[in-house]
Amino acid sequence: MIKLVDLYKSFGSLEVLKGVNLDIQKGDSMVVFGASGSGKSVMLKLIMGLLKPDEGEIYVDGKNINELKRPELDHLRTRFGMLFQGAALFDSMNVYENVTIGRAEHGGMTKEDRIECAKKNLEMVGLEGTEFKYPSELSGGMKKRVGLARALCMEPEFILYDEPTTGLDPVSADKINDLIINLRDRLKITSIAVTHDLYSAFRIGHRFAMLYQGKIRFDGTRQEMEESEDEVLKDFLSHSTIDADS
Amino acid sequence: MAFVADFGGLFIMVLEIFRSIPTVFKRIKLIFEQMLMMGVRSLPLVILTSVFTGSVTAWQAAYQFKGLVPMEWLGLTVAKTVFIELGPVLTSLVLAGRVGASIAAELGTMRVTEQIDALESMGINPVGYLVMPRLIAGMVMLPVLVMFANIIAILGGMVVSVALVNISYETFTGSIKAYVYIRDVVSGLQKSVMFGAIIALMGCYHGFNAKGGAEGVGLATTKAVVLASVLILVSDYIMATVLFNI
Repeated sequence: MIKLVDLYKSFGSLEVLKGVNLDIQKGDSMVVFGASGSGKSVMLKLIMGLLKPDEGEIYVDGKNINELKRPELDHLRTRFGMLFQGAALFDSMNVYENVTIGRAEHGGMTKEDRIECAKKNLEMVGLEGTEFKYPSELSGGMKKRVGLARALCMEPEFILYDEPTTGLDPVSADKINDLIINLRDRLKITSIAVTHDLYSAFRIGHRFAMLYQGKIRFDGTRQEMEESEDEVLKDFLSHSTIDADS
Repeated sequence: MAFVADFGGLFIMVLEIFRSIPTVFKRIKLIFEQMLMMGVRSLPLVILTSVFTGSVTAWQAAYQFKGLVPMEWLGLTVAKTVFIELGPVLTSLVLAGRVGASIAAELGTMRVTEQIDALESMGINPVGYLVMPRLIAGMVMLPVLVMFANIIAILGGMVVSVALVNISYETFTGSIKAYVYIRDVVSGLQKSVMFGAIIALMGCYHGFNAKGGAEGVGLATTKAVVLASVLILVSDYIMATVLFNI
């Protein structure tokens, strides 16, 4: 379980998060949405310990991650997988090396097992046969899928998606959505996705939270969201280009 | 204020490097890759600059000796100047441009494209993975390159002395054999170990702290080269006062 308690984060004079409270239960498929620049990605980085909050606590299975020492934090991070907005693949490594770097670094797997792990996960994301290609030879959608395979190779308990469909054409974006749904239903991994793409949010999420002006404005199911009388939420929904059946 | 923050940041990075020393054997492949990049691939540039350094030193010395100092001291002057000062300092300044800029640009790009965050998210310490191998490679390869530079520079000086100043090979080498001591060579190499550390640290620190996009990477690269060059000259003076008693 992940619990965010009264999180504050500023960058210079810019206050991004102003008291975020959120609980993510085991098995949840949570989508945090909000306008661009509302602090969604910052929230994910705080959960991973990549940024330190100015105030507030983040608990993962009861452990306050801000109190962990570096080795403990590194160990905790191996329980997470993260898909970055731009995929964040290592340019100097081929796809196989990108996918298995976490495994290679933390040991416990022979080279044969790592090859097997890469093959299995690349097959899962529909990219079999690309092991020896470099990131510069891949399209944006393929990079995101390799990023997903890399996250999965760590066999995570939690997976964080930072704008998984941003910058992709509709077909590639839907492929990513299908993959996330597949992972959610098959592997039952607890997931948190941040996005401003409501079509994608409704496809991949079971629970939704709206981040607005540094706070969680809404937290609930899709039905609760559609029945909400909150003007800000209604305004955000009315400006999105999804139909009610999606 | 920025200076204090940079000094603190650099100090923390150095502490992290020390903490990651136990993983040095695990990183041996990365260290050799960096040694190849910094050392072997820099050799043509080092040869080119040092041949002209030696040549101009011989020519300038001959010009200043004319009518004042016997030309039999020309070889000694070229060799001592090269071993003690010009070999280490000029080679390091050239490499601050080539290697320091390359490290800062590479790590800066990795920072702004979230590749460093991706390493951390997999529980991999980026200082141990990226900085420590570069620092060790810099400290090992700089003295090796300086040795090459010294030899080439003295050969260049000898060619100019024999061919253009019209002194014999025996005259040029005689004073070198008699008055160049092993400590002259060693002191230059000691300085180059320090210069190697400065180049690698400046490149890594500024690359690691790059912000924004291409502009941030460019700024980090400029800072890395300028500060490495300044620190090389400052530390050269400090080490000269320590190593050479007048």
